Amino acid sequence: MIPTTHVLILSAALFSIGVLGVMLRRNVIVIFMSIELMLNAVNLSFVGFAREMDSMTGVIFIFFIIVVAAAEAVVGLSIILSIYRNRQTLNVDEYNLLKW
Amino acid sequence: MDYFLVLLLAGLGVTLVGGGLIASRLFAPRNPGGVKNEAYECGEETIGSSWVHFNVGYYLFALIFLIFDVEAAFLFPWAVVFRDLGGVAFLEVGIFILVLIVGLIYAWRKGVLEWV
Amino acid sequence: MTFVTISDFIPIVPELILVLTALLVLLVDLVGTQTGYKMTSPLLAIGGLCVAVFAEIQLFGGNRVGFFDTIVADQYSILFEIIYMVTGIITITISWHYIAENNMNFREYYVLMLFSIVGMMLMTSSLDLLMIFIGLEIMSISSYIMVGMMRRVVTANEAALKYLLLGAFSTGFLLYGISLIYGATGSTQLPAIIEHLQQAGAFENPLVGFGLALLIIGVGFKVAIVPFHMWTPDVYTGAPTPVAAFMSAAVKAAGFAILIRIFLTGIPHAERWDNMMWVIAILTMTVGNVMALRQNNIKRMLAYSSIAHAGYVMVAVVVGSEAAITSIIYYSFAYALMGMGAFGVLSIRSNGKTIETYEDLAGYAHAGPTEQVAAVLMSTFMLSLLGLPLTAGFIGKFQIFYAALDEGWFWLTVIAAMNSVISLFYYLRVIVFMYMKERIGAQQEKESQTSVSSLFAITGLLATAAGIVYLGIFPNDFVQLAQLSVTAISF
Repeated sequence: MIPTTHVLILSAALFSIGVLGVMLRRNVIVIFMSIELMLNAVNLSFVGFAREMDSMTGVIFIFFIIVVAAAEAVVGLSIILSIYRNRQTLNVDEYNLLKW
Repeated sequence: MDYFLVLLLAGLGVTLVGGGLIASRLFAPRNPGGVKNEAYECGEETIGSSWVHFNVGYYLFALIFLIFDVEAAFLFPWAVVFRDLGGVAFLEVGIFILVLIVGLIYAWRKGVLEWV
Repeated sequence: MTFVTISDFIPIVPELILVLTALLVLLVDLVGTQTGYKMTSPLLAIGGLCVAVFAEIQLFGGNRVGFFDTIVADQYSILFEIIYMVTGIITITISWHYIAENNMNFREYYVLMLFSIVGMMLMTSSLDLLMIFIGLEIMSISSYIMVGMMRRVVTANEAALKYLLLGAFSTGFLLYGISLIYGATGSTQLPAIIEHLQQAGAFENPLVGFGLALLIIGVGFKVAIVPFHMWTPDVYTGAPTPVAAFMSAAVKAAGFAILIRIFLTGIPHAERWDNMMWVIAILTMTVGNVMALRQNNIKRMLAYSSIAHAGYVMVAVVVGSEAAITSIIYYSFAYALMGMGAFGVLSIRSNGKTIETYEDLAGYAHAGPTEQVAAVLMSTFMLSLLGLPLTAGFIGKFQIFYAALDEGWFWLTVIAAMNSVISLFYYLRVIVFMYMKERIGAQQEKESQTSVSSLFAITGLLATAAGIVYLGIFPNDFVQLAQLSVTAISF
């Protein structure tokens, strides 16, 4: 059986990759994917803890995270689509109408 | 002395990576083109170019699909223990699905399902 | 096997009323004709909110719990929920005018706002991190859409995108924090977590410290405290003005409500916590005020000022005594009214144009009858934001400073007071421009028309201003309510 520590390390690594992706990438879709990666890293750590403690709470939590992530994806993609229609670009650096 | 170690490490790194690349150049069989350049679509052969633009109208269907896709995540665990939970749980899931159906009807009335 | 019974639903009756109202508004929109909706939706929404407020008052003092102790309707949550609903009602009064003037014919607007309020209410009345998370997301997702409603306007798109990306980003941190806390304590229920953390040596587990820090980041994004405030000015500027008003008032109050619920109800505070929090408090106040000074766009100025006000509230969070929590509740309500009012005045069109910069305000007070009333209201809100005596802003600041001094936070109080002096400049500038500057350009003023919808907005704003003055002159009633609600949560 895989030790819980390994699960947690993997989840921490995935989470960090997600955070770095949000900060470094410039394409909105990729940023959005990185955020989903962060959420899935959280799911993984919940699974790890839930298995370690043999408790169902963590597993139930995951269901709700998945649902919320889906809802966020729906809203997010709609917003991205509407901004793309107006600006014809997906590069976040070019969304610069609002500054300071 | 310390810097010698760094040098050694650097040399080792270059040799290993470079050696690997050169070795694969020399020994690996190369056979470009053909089926390798085709897009992978779940094992099916592609019909036409895969670089076509999708109609943006699909996107509304995709968004609605996403909701019902996730709904399955809730129904599945319930279905597994359906017999143990009994009537009350059935009622609760019924309400859950009803709410989603109302949403679908709303989308329908709003003309989301019309092909434009 | 335990199941939910009917009695579980009693604590969430107000939420249920709002959900049903929202669905009803949706239904009316579906079957209704094009002409009728303009008046029916807002009136229905206000009606639902009033009924829900009434239901809350009936629940007050009952301390009912439900859903396996995850939902509680104690005085604390009820008081905050009433605050959200009152801000909701005021928002609707100013939205109607804005929607009519800007052709923002998206009928889901009121529905989304109701759902957003339901999210806040669930979040506040919940004792389980899972429910808090779900409530937070119901609130956030609804507000992402509300910010981006005018999808042909590029700035609104941009504001919505920034809000969405940073909001979802912060959700990631919040969730990771929850998962670490769950790993360390074995539960997501707040009472169990607090009990576990009160044991000696609980903080030696590195997961606890990390988890709490991540939770602060997650909640900090929502209330816009300083390292996590960057989205606020952009979003408030790009969003429709009533939505900005709603967010600065209700969403912030909700954020502080869970901040108190999670962090100030018994989790022992280490030295590190105090150090971190007072630095955040000082940064939040100072950055907010200094940046507000440099703005020329009034919505941006108000956005930075809302950050500064979050800083004053953070002072009370640092102090953390019962008096401080009382002052947070009072200040949340007071700021909700002041912020709503200020944004609300900006949402009223003057001579067919929207007010954006200070120059647009020049001569505002002399432009017409509606503007004359609006200018008096704006001055009231500005003086209250400034903290002038006889207004709610004064009592709020006074309570926070008093609570801080009482616990020996002398320098923090001094810095907060200095910050309120800085804020004098930009708040007074608004009044100066309205009353003392001449309107720039040719005076080709057409007869300004007073539409029914603007009268509706003015009525709502008059009620808001009356509330501010009432809270400023007779603060005792509300302070007593707040004290009562603090006793409900302090362990």
